[in-house]
Amino acid sequence: MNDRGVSSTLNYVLSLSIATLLVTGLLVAGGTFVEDRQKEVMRSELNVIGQQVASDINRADRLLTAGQGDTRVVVNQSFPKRITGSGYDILLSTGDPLDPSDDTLTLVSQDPEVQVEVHVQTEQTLVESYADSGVVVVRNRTGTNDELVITNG
Amino acid sequence: MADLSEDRGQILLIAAFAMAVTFVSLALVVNSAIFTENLASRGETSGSDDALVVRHEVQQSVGESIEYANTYNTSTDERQAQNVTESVATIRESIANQQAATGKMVVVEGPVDFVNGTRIRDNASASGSNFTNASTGGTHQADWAVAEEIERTRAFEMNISDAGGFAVTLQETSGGDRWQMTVIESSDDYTVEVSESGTVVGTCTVGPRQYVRIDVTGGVVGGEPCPHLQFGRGIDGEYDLFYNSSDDVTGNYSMVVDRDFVSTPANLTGTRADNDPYTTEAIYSADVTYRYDGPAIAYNTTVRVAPGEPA
Repeated sequence: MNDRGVSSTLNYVLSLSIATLLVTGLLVAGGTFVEDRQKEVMRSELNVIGQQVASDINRADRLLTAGQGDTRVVVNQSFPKRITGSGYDILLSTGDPLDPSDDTLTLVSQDPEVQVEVHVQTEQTLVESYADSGVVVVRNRTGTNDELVITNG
Repeated sequence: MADLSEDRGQILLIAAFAMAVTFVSLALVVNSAIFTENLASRGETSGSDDALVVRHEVQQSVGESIEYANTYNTSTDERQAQNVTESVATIRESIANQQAATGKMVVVEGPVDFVNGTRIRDNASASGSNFTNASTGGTHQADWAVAEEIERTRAFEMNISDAGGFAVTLQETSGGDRWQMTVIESSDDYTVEVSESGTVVGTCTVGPRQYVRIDVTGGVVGGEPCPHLQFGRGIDGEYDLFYNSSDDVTGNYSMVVDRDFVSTPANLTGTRADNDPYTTEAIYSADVTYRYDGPAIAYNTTVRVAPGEPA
């Protein structure tokens, strides 16, 4: 009998708190691990989607460059509405107008917020534009033969 | 040990449940990762490469019909245009049928615009003649202007032998820039020397042979690409095309220039003469409209067709 002199209540409280501590530790570690994985996966997913949109822009750019006179180019591709449980936005931003490598696609997921940038280089001019998740369309801006925008299909 | 009741283990149970939920969400995350890999390995899905391939096919086919009209139907520009228009209608049908089989809609229409030009050729029979101009008053000139105030030349090919310093010169009409290609033959080796405004930019030599075929606008000498032979590099706007020492060469040549001057031939005759160059009516280029509709792509544009034009 080695538990003599220890009240059963204390014993109970002790074992309960130790168990709680261990379990909480396990849950926190597990939760953080999953959250880290989620962010990592979102980052790579946004990266892949960004690169797909960038190559669509390049395809449209090639078609537009090959065209003469009045040209109309529409290239669309469907992407998942939500990635790992979160929606996302795609922003095509143009930096320095003289630097063609300064054009950037920025993809931002809503919850958790993960941001990824993909650079685009084109022959034609890119115009600042924006698209939601889903079907992303790359097209030349109505009425122009040398400007590309992204939009939703 | 304390006397614990049979209700023990709630914490463990709750913990196990929470862990289970964590693992399920981990599975979802991993699933997303797998989908990402799938998306990343997707190739060309929209078919933009096919749109360009078909466009090229259209360009080639219409180019062939222009060449056909220029070769076999030289009476008037109108006749040639009519001929090409009818060919384009046939091309439209066949390409539309072909592409419809794979679920794409391709419409070729036109030509919506023609640029009339002139074909200049000297195709003397047997082994050819020298490249002097048509006889004016019983004399031939060795240095003469083949075409003046032109902006473009295409399908300029010659098949020559015994060249000794024969040169093709492009001189800007209102500028000072000059481009020149000289052909020298030495013990059956042919050397093409290209110079720009008097400075030699490079030479290409082909081995011993009886004759050499030079695609002047295509940059090919004797079947081998010649990187220095870039027709009219550095020439802006209108230019005059001259032959120099054209009595120092034997063979045939043909070219199409973008000026419709068959009615007032400078140095040239409009009727075929065996040993002299002559001109015929020709279509220089034609524009057709092209429309490609695929499952994920729509492309409308105008395609300019000028076969054999330097890039």
